[in-house]
Amino acid sequence: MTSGCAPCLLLIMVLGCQPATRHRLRTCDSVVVGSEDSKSLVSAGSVEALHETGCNHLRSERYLQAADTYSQLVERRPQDADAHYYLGVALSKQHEKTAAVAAFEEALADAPAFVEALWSLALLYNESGDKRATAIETANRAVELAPEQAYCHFVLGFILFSHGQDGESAKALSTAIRLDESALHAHYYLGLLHQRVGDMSAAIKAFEEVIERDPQYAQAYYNLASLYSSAGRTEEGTRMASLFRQVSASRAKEDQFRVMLDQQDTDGYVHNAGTHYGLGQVYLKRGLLDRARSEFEAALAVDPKHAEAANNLGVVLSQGAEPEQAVSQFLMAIRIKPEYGLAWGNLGQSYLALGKYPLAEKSYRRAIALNEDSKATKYGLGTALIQQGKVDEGHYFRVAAGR
Amino acid sequence: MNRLQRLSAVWALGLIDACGLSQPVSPPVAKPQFVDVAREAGLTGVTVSGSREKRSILECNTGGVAILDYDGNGLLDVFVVSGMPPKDRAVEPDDARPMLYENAGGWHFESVGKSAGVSKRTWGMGATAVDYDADGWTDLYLTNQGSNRLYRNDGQKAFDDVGSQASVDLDSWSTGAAFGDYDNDGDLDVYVANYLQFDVDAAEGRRCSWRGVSVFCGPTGLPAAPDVYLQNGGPDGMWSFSDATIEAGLTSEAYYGFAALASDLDDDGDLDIYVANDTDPNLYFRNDGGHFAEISMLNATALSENGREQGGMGLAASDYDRDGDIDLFVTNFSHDNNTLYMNDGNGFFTDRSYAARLGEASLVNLGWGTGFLDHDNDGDEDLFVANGHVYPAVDEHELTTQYSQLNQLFENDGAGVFTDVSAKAGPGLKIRKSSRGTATADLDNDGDLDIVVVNIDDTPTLLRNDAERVNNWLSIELQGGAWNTQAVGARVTVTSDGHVQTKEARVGTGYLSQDSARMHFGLGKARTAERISVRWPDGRNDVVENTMSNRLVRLTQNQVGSPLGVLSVGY
Repeated sequence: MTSGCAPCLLLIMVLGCQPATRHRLRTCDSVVVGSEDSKSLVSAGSVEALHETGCNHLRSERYLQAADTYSQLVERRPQDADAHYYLGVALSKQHEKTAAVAAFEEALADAPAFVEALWSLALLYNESGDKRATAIETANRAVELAPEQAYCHFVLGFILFSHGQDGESAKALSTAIRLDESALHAHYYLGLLHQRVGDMSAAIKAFEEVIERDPQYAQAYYNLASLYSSAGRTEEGTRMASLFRQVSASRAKEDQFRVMLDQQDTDGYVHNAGTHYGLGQVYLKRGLLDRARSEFEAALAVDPKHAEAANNLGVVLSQGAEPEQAVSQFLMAIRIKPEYGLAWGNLGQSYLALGKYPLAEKSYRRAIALNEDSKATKYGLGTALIQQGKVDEGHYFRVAAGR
Repeated sequence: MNRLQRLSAVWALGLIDACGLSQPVSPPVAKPQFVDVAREAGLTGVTVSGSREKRSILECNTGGVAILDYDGNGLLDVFVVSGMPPKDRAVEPDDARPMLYENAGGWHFESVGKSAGVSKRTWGMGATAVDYDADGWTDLYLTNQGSNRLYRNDGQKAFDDVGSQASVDLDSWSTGAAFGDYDNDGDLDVYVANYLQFDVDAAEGRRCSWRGVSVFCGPTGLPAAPDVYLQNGGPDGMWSFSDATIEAGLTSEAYYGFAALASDLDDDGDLDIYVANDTDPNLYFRNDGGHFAEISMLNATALSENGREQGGMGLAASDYDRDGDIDLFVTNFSHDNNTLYMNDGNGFFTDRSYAARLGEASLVNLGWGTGFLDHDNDGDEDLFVANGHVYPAVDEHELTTQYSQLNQLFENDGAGVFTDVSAKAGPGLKIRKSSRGTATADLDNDGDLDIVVVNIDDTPTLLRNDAERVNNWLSIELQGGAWNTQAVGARVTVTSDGHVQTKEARVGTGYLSQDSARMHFGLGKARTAERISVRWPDGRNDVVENTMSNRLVRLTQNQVGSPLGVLSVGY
């Protein structure tokens, strides 16, 4: 069984954009994940601390905890529209649709001109299946409040699309694109509308545009696969089908881990470190570094001796140009598992990036001794040696690396 | 055409017994009127599927229904599948077991499962009615969670289970089965969809969350079971089957399979296979001379229009837009639309769910059994959908969906746009149950189609079509060749009043079910079918011209030109 209209869920945004609305939504942007400050604030029990903790949970996709936090907050401050809104976000991410609708409605009761709450609510009404008119009306209110906001037009266009109101949907989606050329979902759904009316070349163009902007947009590959094939471009069609499978397999894996985490929530278990680690791996492979980082951190919070999570957190940090923090993670991984060749190699790489060549050399040599003798390791060792004036030996390792 | 045989209208009419129907006087509108007569008719066995609260995914999917003439008396009988009760659920002795109801005429059915030897309790899923051994008697294939049964009809109102002997028992969780002569060797092979590799003990008690409701887990997160293709060895192989899945190229990733269909979707003379999968892409296996290629991603039949995997349950296939090719309709999970894939005629499909007004009408419901049927004989294919949720717990939450749901009847306007006419289709469409499989047949031989619906943990619904008959009709029964007596895979095209309708002979329809083998064509105001064209499974064609309406016509392969080739029977 499927959980239904999953994409609708994705459209409900955690952070919102910066609306020119009558109500300005406080964002979670400035929150530092796991900061000591926020912990002390929480213990002090301040409203601000609860907001920050809630935001932290949302950003880390810990929706159960986020919902708990915002529930506490709305108890203390029943008029806090933002708290109701974020509670709605956390609940909808957990598929608690009815409760989410109630939370968004509360947010709007406190702040009727709350654009993000309006579009979130519109999407949920739409998803319920029997509130089409209300969904459209709610989305229209968002558009009226923030006509300059592309996302509002997209939400309206999406809802109209899902009810077969193709002409009006096309108008709304085109407006979204006019306001924001990078409005990816709008491009995609406009492509679908072209396909519906049989304008295949316009559809192809729209889907190609989507993929160019986001190579992880799996659905566009699916549409292109059949469009290319029916246009006689069979090879390209087959390639698109294969790319679809590749990209969506990664999504499927993500879903699987998420189901496992949901299940653990429902059963009241502590999240399993391995599940967070697995999910982090999925994100890392897709280049979603922030999400990967959150998952590896969550894995380490559950199991501080998870060497692979420490190593991969180091990888995320080094890719995020934070080599010093990366070094600490690799060292932690090595402390947990001294014979961990991969972590030694990564440590060498980070030292190399920091210009600490002797330490890099030592780490690389240890990695090679532990059979972590990949081309990258040899090449890195070669570079570290050359930088220290050990040119011959350096070249030897570079040649051995085949470069 | 390989062979064109024509019968003059005069010649054919000389052989036809009148049906006793008066010449139709046709009012402009036929108002649907379905009435549930299950209880009075004697369809009283309860289909039990585990606990009422549904402790695991095993308990929510049962089951199918098959229509067959098991005793060859011309009256169509009904076989209803059941699951099993858990140890702590008491059931009546006649409940929770497969039920064979013999049609005694006059809307009276007698439960004959025990005497016929088909009532042994299994965790049943689906049923198909097939003459797999070409002895002229229709056998029953029952898919189960556990070993499947092949009940061989001995022609004496009794069946023997030969599943193991014929190697079709498959100790798996089988769901849909679609029989057809896929390798064109004359006998009937079978594609069996499988659902999960399932450990009952491990699954029970595990809880997951669905929209905030605590429910059983799955199928996501549980291992899927791969589908299986079994080739019939024919008379030389003692009608035993062997696994040819890999050799035939019928491999894909293991998905959560439900309904399977054999249809010549690309109209090239061999049977393709389409499978509706739960939460996974659907599969379309194109048959190229007995070897298959999976092309659902390339011809746009794998996912929804916007590239999402759907919760495929049941499927229907017919030429709803009367353009001569077979279109597909798949029922899906709640909060998602059912999907209509229109066949573009060039090997590609277009999702027309919303354009045909079938998308929005299905959003709140969870669809299962489905079938195209011309309920009002106006000459186009209408659509029936059986609905019901899998989670009884949804009733305790405000989720805009309920466990027991209304079934739906959609009226085709002739241009391929549907209107939900359930609300004015009689009391039978006002029944709320958690429905599963469905099958259609003219059970009283009165010229309109009736519907049987299986309801989980309940008795079936038997929807008698009581609408005033204002249009003409034709029912066609095919007698196939030596090893395929049901002519499975044959394609029949009927032309009347300039309209062309196309249907196929199938074993395995809807959701794990089986419609009557008789093909029912509404003719509207036309008093004759100008032309009946049959493409038999061996590729040869026969044509019959100017057939009078309102009768059952039996067409026999290789004998259409002979005096016994066309036989019309009135009841």
